[in-house]
Amino acid sequence: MFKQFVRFKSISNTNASTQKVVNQLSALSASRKQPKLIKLSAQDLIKHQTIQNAWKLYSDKLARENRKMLKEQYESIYNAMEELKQFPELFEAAKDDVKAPFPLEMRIPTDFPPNQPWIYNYEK
Amino acid sequence: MVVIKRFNSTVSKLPTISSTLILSRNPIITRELPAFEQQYYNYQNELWKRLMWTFPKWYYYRDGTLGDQRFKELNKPPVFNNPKLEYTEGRPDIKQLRDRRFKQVINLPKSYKQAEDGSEIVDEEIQDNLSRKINPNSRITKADESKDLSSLERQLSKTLYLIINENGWKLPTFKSDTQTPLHKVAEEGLFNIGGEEINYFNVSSKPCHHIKGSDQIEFFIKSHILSGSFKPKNLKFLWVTKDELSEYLNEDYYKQIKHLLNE
Repeated sequence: MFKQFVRFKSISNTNASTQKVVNQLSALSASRKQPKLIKLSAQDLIKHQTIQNAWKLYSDKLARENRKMLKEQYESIYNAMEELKQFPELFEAAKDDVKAPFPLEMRIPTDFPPNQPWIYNYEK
Repeated sequence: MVVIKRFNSTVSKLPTISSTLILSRNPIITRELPAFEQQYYNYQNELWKRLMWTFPKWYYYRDGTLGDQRFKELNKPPVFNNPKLEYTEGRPDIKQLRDRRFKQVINLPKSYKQAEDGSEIVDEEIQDNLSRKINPNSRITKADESKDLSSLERQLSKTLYLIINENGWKLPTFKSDTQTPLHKVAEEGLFNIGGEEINYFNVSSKPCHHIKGSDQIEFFIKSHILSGSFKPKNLKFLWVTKDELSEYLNEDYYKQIKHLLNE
């Protein structure tokens, strides 16, 4: 007699739409998709820690420089305003900071420049 | 009598003031990463890829379809774990067509025609097609190549500052009376020397710095140029980065304003 071989058992009691959801969940779930844990040898662990420590030192240095610069800028503004108190009219004008709307033309730096790096034809 | 004397003395002592404009063009592209940062990000990226889950191929390329065939041509399955064999570099640990010991490298079928050497075959009909290859613009512009220091399109990854030549290079400085606000003086001065076709954003009406001389005070105002261009008559001007600025300005002067400038 002819015998039929079946490689996979079909899931019973599922219609097409349920099967679709099952497929989607299988794409999202972690089962059978996770890689092996990284097991570092003692030497590699030291290498990894050295890299992380170097990065920490580096980013700390950048942060320190940044804080220092901000502090200096703040003190600059403070001192300039103190100096400006000699000229009451200018001081009042500087104090009433009319908030200009933030310009829409200002753009965030991208990895590559636009086709036209600078817009020259501006008219008031 | 005493009061009048004091009043007179203060009037005579009142220094003259000037408003200096720090006009900057903000960077258009991201900064160049230092070698160390580049290496560190590369390392982290490789770790991230190693720890990534397996690509659910069955979901995106269903068995028996043309897409599946193209995918299989590009991605050969990893070495099969044969229990009868010894492997010199460790036994493969295969799940879902991925060796779990390593990162998974997936080559996807290209959406454009490709020659043998990997270069794109340009088909003129599909120049506007969304599936065409993306060729980003160069980070180095023509102005960089021709070393045109007065162009706004140079050094796209750095902040540029405007300097003008009036008996030596300096930041644009304008004499101010005690009535007009400092940022107005700077704005009018800028339009007077450079034409009105400048779209700029004044950060604040407060001065960001001052330098005190014997009988004069110089206040600094910050602004960004957004579009348009600085087109003066009979005046030399340059757009330079912070590093280059130290070559053009007086050394002591540069040290005093260094903290106001960005890379």
